[in-house]
Amino acid sequence: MSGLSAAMATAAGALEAYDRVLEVTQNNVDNANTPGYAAQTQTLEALPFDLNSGALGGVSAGEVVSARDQYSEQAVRSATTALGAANQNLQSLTSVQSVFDVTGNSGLPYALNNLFQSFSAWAQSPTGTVERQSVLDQASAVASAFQQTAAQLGQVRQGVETQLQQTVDAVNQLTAQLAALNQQVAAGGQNDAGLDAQVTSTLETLSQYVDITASKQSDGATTVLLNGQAPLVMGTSAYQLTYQLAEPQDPPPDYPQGPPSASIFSGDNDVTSQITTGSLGALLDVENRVIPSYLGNAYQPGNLNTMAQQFADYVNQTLTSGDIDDRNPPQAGVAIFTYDTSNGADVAATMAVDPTVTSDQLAAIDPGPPPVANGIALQLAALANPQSSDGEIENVSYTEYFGQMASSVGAELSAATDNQQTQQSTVAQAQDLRQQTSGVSLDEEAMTLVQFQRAYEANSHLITILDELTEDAINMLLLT
Amino acid sequence: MEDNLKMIEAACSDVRQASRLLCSPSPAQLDRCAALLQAAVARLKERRGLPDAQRGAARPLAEALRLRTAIRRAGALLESAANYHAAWRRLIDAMSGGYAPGGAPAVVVRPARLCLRG
Repeated sequence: MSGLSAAMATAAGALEAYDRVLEVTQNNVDNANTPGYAAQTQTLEALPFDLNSGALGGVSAGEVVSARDQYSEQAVRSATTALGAANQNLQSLTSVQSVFDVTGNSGLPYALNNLFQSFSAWAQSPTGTVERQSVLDQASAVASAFQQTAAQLGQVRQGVETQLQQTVDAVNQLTAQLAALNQQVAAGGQNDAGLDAQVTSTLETLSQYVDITASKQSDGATTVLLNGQAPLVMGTSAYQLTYQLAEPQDPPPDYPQGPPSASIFSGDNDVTSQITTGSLGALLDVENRVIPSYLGNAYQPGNLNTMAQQFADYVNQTLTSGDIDDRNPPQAGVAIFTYDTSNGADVAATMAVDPTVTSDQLAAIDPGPPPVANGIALQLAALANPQSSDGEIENVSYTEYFGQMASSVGAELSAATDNQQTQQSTVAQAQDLRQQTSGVSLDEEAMTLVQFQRAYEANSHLITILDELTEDAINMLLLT
Repeated sequence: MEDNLKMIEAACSDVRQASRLLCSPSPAQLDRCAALLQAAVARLKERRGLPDAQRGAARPLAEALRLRTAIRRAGALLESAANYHAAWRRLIDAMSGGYAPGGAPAVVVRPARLCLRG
């Protein structure tokens, strides 16, 4: 083809393409007031420009793309992300709950109960050798129970950290796959239905892990953003995420030796705050919020450590305020519990009974005045059912405090179970809505949108009434 | 008490069925869903007229709590479907009418239309 006719053909092709753009635009304008009309876009595809091979560039018209399809796909992905978070949350909280046995037959509540009973027996027989030894033995069991609870929660944390790394690896693998698929699209696969299906499927898998926004570019490539912000895939480039465990520095930590927090980076940017849902978001929540509420982090000691420290301090102070015998001068009692005093977030894990303490160093006598032979033992026995703020932690007994920790996990687990079931239905619903809109004419959809709105209003009104009636019923049934 | 328990159980069954319909929302399904929710409302209103012979009884209370969970699930499904269509509508408004000065989608006035088929 001569240069002139080639140039004319290129120009004619471009005119034809722009003519089709005008047609689509005109169609959008005509339908501006049509309910439910999905505006359509005419994409323009660049033609290769290579003078040596005679390719003179220009543009040609691509396929008409309906914004509705992208919207439906994004809705399915958002529902999948929420389900991913719900599944992970349920799994992690089930592991956390297994640490808190509230039956009283094992673990910390069991050990505390036995120690309180030994205090009580000691109060009955303050000079009894067996009773004193029993107090020391049960105190050791309590210290072991604190250590064991901390160790079990530590194991849950390790499991979560392993899963965090695995999840980040899975995300990176999927984004690399998407970048490779974009490369195939760029190499001429823009209208390849197989490639398109692979992209859709990969995006859906990726959305289980993180909240993504995917949009198709005019060249057919799919851009993927993390929570609509940080890029994960742009063109043929995938931006890898990295997972780090580090002590936060801003604001300066209150417990510098506390357990580190998990962070996710994209390049040098900390994107942790952008990852609030999906299985990665749920794992971050368990690692940075749920477990630290028991085991502490840079900014809090954690409830288990607070309980361990206050319990050990109370018992130690009570024992050291007493006398071992009534000799003159009296011999003061000794503390029995030890723990790492340099790290408030490590008390439970390091709690122990001082091995140098012997049973005859336990002080049962309250020096008064007036002196009471079993006063100290009675004070400690009262820990089982404290009658005043002495021997309480945050206005409840130590056993109740542990029960509150357990019930808080139980409540979160129960909510997670309900949420998981709801999210499963929501994903099914989003898939159904995607299916409904596929292949339906826009006119038909426009009519149903009006009907939908009416039906939603009617149902919403009924749900409100039902909710009120049920609350009434629950309140009536709760009244005894 | 038995009557009360049966009322709550029946209402719970209605709401669960409504939730199943909400997984596949269409105007026709939503109409059926509304009928079921209406039936549940009627049952609970009827229950209110009955004496609560055993207040604090575990079974009716447990069933009422299950009913509350079922209602919340139905509410969540209704909300997600309504959000889907509301957001789609806003997108259409923005695409066909542009944006208002505040950045919100422009209000597109849609005249009533009559569609004849046959």
